[in-house]
Amino acid sequence: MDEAEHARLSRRQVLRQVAGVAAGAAAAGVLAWRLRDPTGERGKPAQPELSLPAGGYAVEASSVLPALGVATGQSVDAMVRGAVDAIGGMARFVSRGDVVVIKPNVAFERAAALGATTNPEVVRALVLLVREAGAREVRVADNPIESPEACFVRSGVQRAAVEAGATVYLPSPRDFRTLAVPGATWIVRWPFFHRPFLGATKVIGVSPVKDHNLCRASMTTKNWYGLLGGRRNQFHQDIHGIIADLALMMRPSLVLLDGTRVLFRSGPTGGSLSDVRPGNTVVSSTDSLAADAFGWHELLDRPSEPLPAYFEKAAARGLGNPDWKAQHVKRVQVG
Amino acid sequence: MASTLVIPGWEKHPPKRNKDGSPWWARTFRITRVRIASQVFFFSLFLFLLWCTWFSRLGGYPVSLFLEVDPLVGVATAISTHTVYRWLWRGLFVLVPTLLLGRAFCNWMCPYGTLHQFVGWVFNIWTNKNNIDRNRYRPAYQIKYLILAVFLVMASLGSLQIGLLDPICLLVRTLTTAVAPASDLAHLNLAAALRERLGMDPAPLLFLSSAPGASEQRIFRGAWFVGLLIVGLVGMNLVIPRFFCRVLCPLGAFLGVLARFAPFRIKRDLTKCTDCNACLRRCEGASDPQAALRKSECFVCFNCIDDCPEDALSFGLGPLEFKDFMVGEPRKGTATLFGKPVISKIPETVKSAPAVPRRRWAFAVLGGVLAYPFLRLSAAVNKRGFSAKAIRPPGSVEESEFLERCIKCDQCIRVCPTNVLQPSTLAEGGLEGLWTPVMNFSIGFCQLNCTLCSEVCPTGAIQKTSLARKLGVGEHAPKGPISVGTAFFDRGRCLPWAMETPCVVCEEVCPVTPKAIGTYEETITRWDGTKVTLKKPYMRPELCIGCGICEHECPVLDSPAVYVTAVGETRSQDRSLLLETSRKTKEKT
Amino acid sequence: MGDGLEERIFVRPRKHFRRTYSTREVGIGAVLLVGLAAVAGWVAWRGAHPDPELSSAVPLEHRAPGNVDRGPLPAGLAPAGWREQRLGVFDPGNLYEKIDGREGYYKSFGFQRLHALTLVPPAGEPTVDIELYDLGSAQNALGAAAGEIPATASPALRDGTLSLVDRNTLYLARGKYYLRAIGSAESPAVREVLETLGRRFATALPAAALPFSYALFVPCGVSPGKVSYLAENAFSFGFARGVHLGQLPDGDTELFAVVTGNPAEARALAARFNQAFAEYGKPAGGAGGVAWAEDRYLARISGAGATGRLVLGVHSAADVQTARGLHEKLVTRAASIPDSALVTVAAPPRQEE
Repeated sequence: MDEAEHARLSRRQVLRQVAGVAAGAAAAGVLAWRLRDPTGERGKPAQPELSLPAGGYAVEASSVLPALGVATGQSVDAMVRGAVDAIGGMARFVSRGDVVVIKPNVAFERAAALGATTNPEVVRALVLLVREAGAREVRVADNPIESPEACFVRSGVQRAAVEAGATVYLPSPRDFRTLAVPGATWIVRWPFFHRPFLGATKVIGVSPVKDHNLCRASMTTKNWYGLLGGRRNQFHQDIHGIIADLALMMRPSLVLLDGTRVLFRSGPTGGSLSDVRPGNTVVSSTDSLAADAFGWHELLDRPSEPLPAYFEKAAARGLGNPDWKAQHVKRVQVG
Repeated sequence: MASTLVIPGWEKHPPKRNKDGSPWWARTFRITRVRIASQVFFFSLFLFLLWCTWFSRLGGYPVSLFLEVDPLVGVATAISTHTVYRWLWRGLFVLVPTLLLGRAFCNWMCPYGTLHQFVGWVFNIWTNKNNIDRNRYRPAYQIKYLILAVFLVMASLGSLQIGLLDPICLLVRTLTTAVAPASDLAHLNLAAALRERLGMDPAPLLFLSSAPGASEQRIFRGAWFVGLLIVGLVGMNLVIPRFFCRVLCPLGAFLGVLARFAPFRIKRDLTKCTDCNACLRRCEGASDPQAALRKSECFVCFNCIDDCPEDALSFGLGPLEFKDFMVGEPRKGTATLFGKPVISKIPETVKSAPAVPRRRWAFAVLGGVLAYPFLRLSAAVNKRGFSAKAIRPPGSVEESEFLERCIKCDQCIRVCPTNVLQPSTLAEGGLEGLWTPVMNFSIGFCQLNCTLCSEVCPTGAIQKTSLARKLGVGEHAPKGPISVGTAFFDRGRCLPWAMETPCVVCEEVCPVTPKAIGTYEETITRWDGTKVTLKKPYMRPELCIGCGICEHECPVLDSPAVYVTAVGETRSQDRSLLLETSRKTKEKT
Repeated sequence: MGDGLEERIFVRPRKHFRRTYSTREVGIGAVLLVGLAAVAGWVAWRGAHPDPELSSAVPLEHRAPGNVDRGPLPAGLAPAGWREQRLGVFDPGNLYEKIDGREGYYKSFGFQRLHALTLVPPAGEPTVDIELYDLGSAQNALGAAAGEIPATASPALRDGTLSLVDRNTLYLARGKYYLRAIGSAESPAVREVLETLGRRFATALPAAALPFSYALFVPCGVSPGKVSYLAENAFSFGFARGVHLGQLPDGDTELFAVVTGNPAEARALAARFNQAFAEYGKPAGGAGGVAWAEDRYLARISGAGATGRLVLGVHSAADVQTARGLHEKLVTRAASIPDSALVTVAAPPRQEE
C-alpha cells in the first residue's frame, strides 16, 4: 500500500467517523429534547382511571312490578326463583348474550352453615337462573378478606358456581385499577377489582344477612366492599359514609338478599352455629336499600330499632328507598 | 429367525448397527442417557411438587417428598430428637441404594445437583484439555466432610443447622422465597400487558403463578440474600464444576461416607487402560476414575464409561484391589494380571474412605462442640431475651425442641396462603434461627381455618395439627385453642383512643367467637365541636389466639396500634402470659 | 498416545469416545425407567387422594365431638375406655347431611334439632351411633318412635319413658325427645351399652306429660309401641283428622279417639264415623249409643260413640260382642282422664320433599 492510497483511505475513515459521531450526537439531542421533563411531573407514572357505565348496570325501572319480591320456603332453588319471578322474572334483568357478574359475599374462610358467607346453594340457583335467561357468560367474583382460594373453597361457593357453569374470578395483584366514582364522599378514586367487569353487561349482587360490629348490618349494599382493593381498612373511620359511597359506585341490575340463614350476632365473622338461625327467605329487588331495610326489620328481626345511618345517607342521594313498607312488596310461599 | 412376519424391504434396509456390532438402540439408550432421563424426571418432579405446595393444588400430593427422602434430614433429626418423624423413614429409599451403589443420588436424583450440572454444561467454554484439569481432585473437596461433622455434632447437642446447606432445603428455600416471587412478578406483568395491549385472555398464564388467588404479590424478608446466594453458588460452576456438590454439600458428604461401603463401583481394567485421562473430561464428582477411584467422591454418573476410548471402565461389583494379583512391575511395563499384560502405569484402582485426615475430623468435631454454645447462648432463642417478633406458626413445638427439628426448608412458608410466614432474619432468631419460619403480621395474618403449614412440615417442627386441635374444639376443648402470641393495643397510636376517630377494624376482623376484642362505647365532643361516638377497643387476652389479623388490618400501617408479640403462646410454658393458659400448657405436657 | 487418539479427544467436543455398547445396560436402564414411572404413578395416586379436612365445607362443629353445644346430650356418655366421636348438631336446613333420604320422616314429626354422636370402644369396633331428635312435643316423639319400632317388638312404658332394646338398637322416647342408638354389631357388649344408655337417658332427658291416648289405650291392652297418631285421613276418611290410634296385639283391632270442641260436635263426628263405616258394609246392630257396622269384605266390626267431647271408637273388631266390650272399657278409662289432658297437639304440616 503506497502512501497516497493510505492517506486517501484514512481521510475517508476520518470523515466517516466524524459523520457518525455527529449523527449520534444529534440523535441524543433530539431524544433528550423529546424526553425533557423540567418540573419532574412528566416522569410520574400515569394513573389510568376507570369508569363504570353511566347509569351503572341498572335495568329500566318499572312502575307496575313490585319493588320487593320476598320468597319463603324450604327449597333454596324455589326461593331464588320465586323471589326473582315476583319482581318480573330473570328475563327482565338478563337478556340473551349478556355477560353477567355475580358478586356474592365470600369474605371469610368459613363453612356456609356459619352464615358469614353467601349460601352456595343460592349462588348455584342464581347462576342457573341467569344462564337459563340466556347469559353468554356468568362470572362470580369477590375480593375476600382472607385468602381468596380458601374462602371460595371452604364456603362451598367455588364448587357451586363452577358446577352451575359460572367462571370464578379470584383477584390477583394486577387485577385492580383506579375507579372514579364522581360525587362520592370518600372513594372518589379507589382501586377496583376490574378484571371481572371487562365486557360485563349486567351485575347481580347476592349477599347474606349479617350482623356487623360497626355498621350494625351487612347486607346487599355493604356487599360491594368486596369489589374494592387498596387500603380498605380505612373505611371504618366513616363506615356509613363509605357504604353510601358503595351504593353510589355500583348500580346493579338486581340484588338478592340471601336470608336462608341469618348471622344475627358476632358479625361479620361469626364462627359458631349458635350465632346463626334459619331465615328461610330470599329477597329480590332492584333497590338494595329496600332489600336491606326489609332484612333489617324482618330477617335480623330488629323491627323497633332505627335503621343504621347509611340507609339515610344513601337514600338522600336518591339511591333507593328504605321505606319498603310503603312500596309494593310481593310475598310468595314456595316449596 | 423363523417368522411368518414379512416386512417389505427388510432385507434391503436392515436395522442399523453400531460399529461394535451391537444394535443401534444399545448406543441410543445407553446408561448415561437413562441417567439424564432420571435427572429430568426428578428435577421436574421436584418443581411439580413445589408448584403443588399451594392450597388449590395440594390435593394429597406428597409435597415434601424430596425433603423426606433426603437421608441427612432423617439422620440429623434422629440424632437431635432421638425419633424419626412421620415420613422421614423414607430416607431409607436413598440411604440403602447408597450403601449398595455409592453416591448415585447426587447425579441421578438430586435436583440441586442437576441444576449445577446443567449450568456447568451450558456455560462450559473450556476445551477438553482444560476440562480434564478442572475435574481433577483437589484437597478443598474435603471441606464438605468437615461441614458435615460440625452440623452433626451440633445436632447431637440440640441445634439443627444442616438446613443451612443441605441441598434440598436450600433449593426449596431459594425457590420459595426468591425465585417463585420473581417469576410471579414477571408473569403477572406479562399477563397484564397481554390483556391490556393485545386484548388477549392471559388466563392460561395463571398456570405459571406460584400463588394463584393471592390478591397481592408475595414478598419475603431477606429474599435478596437467598437469591444472591444461589446466584453465587450456581455461578461458581463456571470456576469449579459442581463447586457446591464437591466442596460444600453436607448431604453429599454424608452419602460419601456411606459410599465407602458400597460393593459396586467404577472398575478400571488395568490391561486396557492407557492412562489417557479422557475419563476425567466430564467426571462430575472429580473422583479420579483414571487412577484410584475415590468412591466417596464418585457420583456414579457413568460419564467416564462413556468417555473411555479403550472400554477399560465398567461399573460392577468391585470389592477387591487388583494390584494384589499383579505379577511384575507396572511402572516398568513388565507386569501381568491373570496372564494379560498390564498397560496402565497406575496400579491402584480404588480409594474407599473420604480423604480427610483424622486430625481434621477432630478439628471439625471440636468446631461443632464450640459452635453450639456460641449460637445457643446468643439470647435470641432462649427463654429470656427472646425476640418479641419470633412468633412461630401454630402447631410449632416448644422453642428448644423446634430448633432440634426445623431444617429451614421453608416449605411452610411456601404453602402459607396469606404470606404471613416469613424466613426469620438475624433480627428474630439470631444466626441459630436464621430462615426458620416466623410470622410477620404487617405482611399477612394466620388464617383461622388453615393448618397447611403443619401439613407440609417434614420434620414435625410444626407438628401435624388438625383444625379441631388448632381451634381447641371437640376432644381438644380442655386444652383450648392454640395461641401463637397475644395482641396488645398501643393506645397512643389507636385512632379511637388517641385521635378521636372511629375505627375498630380490629374488632370486625377478629375471627374467634366470642371476639377477643371488645369495645367501650363513648360519645365525645371532638376538637372541632362535633359529637362523635367512639368504640374504643380493648383485649380479652384469654380469648386471643395471636392470629394477627387485627395487626394486619390495622390502618396505622407502619407500626400498628394493635400488634401481636410472642408472649402468651401455648406451646411454651416459659412464654405464657396468663395463669390460666399456663395451667393449660402444663396439662398438655 | 497416538495422533488419532489425540484428535479424537481434544478436537471434537461433546462427543463420547466409547466404542462398545451393551444390550444388558439398556435392559437395566429400562428397569430404572419403569421404576421412575412407578414413582410418577404413586405420586399421581397420592395426589388424587387428599385429606378431606383440608378443604371441607362442613363446619367444624359438625365434624368434631364435644364442643360447647352438646344440647340435651348428658356429658360422659361413653362407657369406661370408650371415646366419643363425631358429635354433630343438625337443623332442618342440613339434616340431609346426616340422614340422606329419610329426613322427610323426621320432619313430618316436627323435627327441630338432631344431636348425633358415635361411641367408639378401645378396639375401634363395634361402634354405637346415637341420634337424639328434638321433635317439639311428646306426641311427635312417641309417634316417631312408634313408627320405627319393629312391629313384632313390645316396648315398655315406665315413668313417662317409652323404651326398647331390640337386637342392636335402642329406641327411647321421653318428653319431646326421640332417641335411637344403633350398634354396628349385635353383641352382648353392645347390648349392655344400649341398656346403660337407655337408663341414662330415661333420667337425663326432661319428661313431659304423655298424650292422653296412652292413659286411654294402654290399660285396654294396647302395647305402648302401638299407640300412634294420624293427623289426617285416618281409615281413608277425609273428615277423620287428629285421630289417636291404638292397635291391639291381634294386629287387626284398633281403638281410636278424637278430641272435639264440645259434646255436640263429638256426637256429630261419631255419627259421621258410623255412617262412613256403614258405607263399607252393613249395620250390625246398635248398642250403648254406637251403631256398629260390619265390613262387607273383611267381616270385621267397627263403630264409634261420643263420650263428653271425646269420640271413642273401635275399628275392625272380631265381633260385636268384643267391640262392645272394648268400647265400654274405653268409656270407663276416659272417665278417669281429666278434661284438661284432652289435647291434641297440632301436628306440623308434613314437609313436601
